[in-house]
Amino acid sequence: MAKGGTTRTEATMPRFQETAIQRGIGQAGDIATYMDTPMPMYGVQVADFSPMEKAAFQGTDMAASAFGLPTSGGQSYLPEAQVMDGGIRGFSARPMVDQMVSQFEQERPGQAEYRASFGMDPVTGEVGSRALSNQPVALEMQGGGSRGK
Amino acid sequence: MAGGANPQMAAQPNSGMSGINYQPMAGSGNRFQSFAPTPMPMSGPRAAQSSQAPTPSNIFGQSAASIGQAQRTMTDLSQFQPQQMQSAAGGPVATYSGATVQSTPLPQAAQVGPMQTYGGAQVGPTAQMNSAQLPSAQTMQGVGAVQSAQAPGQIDVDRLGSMDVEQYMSPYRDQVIQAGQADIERQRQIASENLAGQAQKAGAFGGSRQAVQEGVLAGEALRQSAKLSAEQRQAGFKEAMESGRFDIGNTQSARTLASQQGFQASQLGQQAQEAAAAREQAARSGNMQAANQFAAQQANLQQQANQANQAALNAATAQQAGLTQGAGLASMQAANTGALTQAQLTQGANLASAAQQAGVASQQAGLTQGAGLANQAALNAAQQQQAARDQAANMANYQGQFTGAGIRQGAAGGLGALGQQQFNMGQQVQQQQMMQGALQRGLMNQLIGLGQGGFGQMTGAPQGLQTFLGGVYGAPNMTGQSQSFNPGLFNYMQLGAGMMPR
Repeated sequence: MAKGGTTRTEATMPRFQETAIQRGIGQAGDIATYMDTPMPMYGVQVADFSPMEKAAFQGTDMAASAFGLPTSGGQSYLPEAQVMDGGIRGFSARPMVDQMVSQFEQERPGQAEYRASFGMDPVTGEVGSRALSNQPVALEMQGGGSRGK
Repeated sequence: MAGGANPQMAAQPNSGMSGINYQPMAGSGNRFQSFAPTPMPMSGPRAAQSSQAPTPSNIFGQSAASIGQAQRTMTDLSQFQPQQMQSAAGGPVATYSGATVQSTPLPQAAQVGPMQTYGGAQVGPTAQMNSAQLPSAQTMQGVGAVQSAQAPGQIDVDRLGSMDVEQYMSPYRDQVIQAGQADIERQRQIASENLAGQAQKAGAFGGSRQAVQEGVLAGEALRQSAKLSAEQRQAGFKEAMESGRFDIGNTQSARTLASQQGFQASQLGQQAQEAAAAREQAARSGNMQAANQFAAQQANLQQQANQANQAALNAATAQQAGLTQGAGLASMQAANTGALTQAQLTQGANLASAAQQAGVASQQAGLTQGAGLANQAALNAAQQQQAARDQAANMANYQGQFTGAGIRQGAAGGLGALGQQQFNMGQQVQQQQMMQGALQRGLMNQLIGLGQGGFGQMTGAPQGLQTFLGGVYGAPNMTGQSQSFNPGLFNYMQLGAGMMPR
């Protein structure tokens, strides 16, 4: 640093920038409420075996049976595959999740209700009591702008 | 192997697979289609029982059937035994036994007739001396006991209590009583008439006083009548008792006298009997002594007779032995002479027969030896030919055994290779099953992971706050910064120095 001169630093922010930040933070609170609302699984998550793979399974069983080895007796290990629109075939973990959530709500109703209060009612859209949307804080405004909704 | 139409390769009911039946799964898009498994036949004998089994339906069934058939073929070859070659047997060898010399009659020895033997003269029976026989001795019989004197029996004693008193009563007793009672009645009637007269005089006839007086009079008369009867009867009884006592005393005295007389007579009789018995006893004793003496004499006579008989028998026996000895010696000498003569005759005949047989045997031996030599030569030739054929057959059999061993060895190697191939195929199938199972299990694990993640998302801690804070802290710094610079003296000097030429 050169000697002999003086350097001055001072905080400055444009007004439009301050307003944009305030809008972003407000929207982040709304998004957090949405994120804390449980979302069930829709559709399939894992693809079903292809017909060629199934044929290979069948051939393996036939080979084992022909040579006197034990066989699987046909596929019964995996759940029923679901066929979505467009011919997409796969398996869904939703039945398992629904069962676990139902068991959780039955065994721990208080905890389940507490957890749900961070989100919103997925049917009515009512915001939970502990959601960020219901925790208003007065923002210190240095410039103009508003939260904007 | 096209088509796999070999009936011996048909499927056999496998005990390990008999319970598995694949059924169609209707409406299931991800289920395997049903298929009928065709278990591989595991052994040859079982395959022979299934000639009507269907043809394997797929390549695996056909492969299993082919391997099974190959296994059975290899097994059969591994047990291959070449058929044994039998050497041709030669025909029977004709032999000739040689001519036979006919036998000729042999000389027979003359037979000496039987020898006559003499048994010796027989001594006649000796006369037996018999002793004089006397009658048997009399034995003494003891005299029997005499009858002892009998004591008199107990005398009967009559008693007044058992006596009939009535026989001693007076037969006029009732007449006396009746006469007295008649007198009393007559006196009562007189007194009664007096009382009636007095009452009539007093005008009280038929009154009560008269009746009382009549009653007293009747009672007094009755009392007098009873007293009279009692007194008469008492007197009669007393007299009867005295008469009875007198009779009893006389009877008892007579009985006592009779008893004494009987006892005395019994004593006298006993004494007489004892005297007679003594006499009889003495007589019998004398008779017994005489009988015993006679018996002793008889015994002596018998003993003398027996001794005489024994001496006569001994003399006869000795005489008979001497006669028999002489006859036996003469007979033996005659027999020896006959036997010697017979032996000499037989020996001569035997010598002649032996000479004749030796000649025949010599001739027969010559003939037999010639035939035997010819036969032996023929047999040797036949045996050598048979040995050559056996040798050839054995060589062929040995070669066949080597060939069979080679076939079995090849089959054993083929079986081993086939077993290894089957083992590898089984391993491959199991590895394929393992790989496919792992693939399915991985898919299941993936689903489980997704489910657990979804559950965690729905029940875990809220994540919205992190998003919010990220937005807050990720926002640009609210404090903007601007800088300005004011140069000093040194800055100017430095600028000037820089502008100076070098």
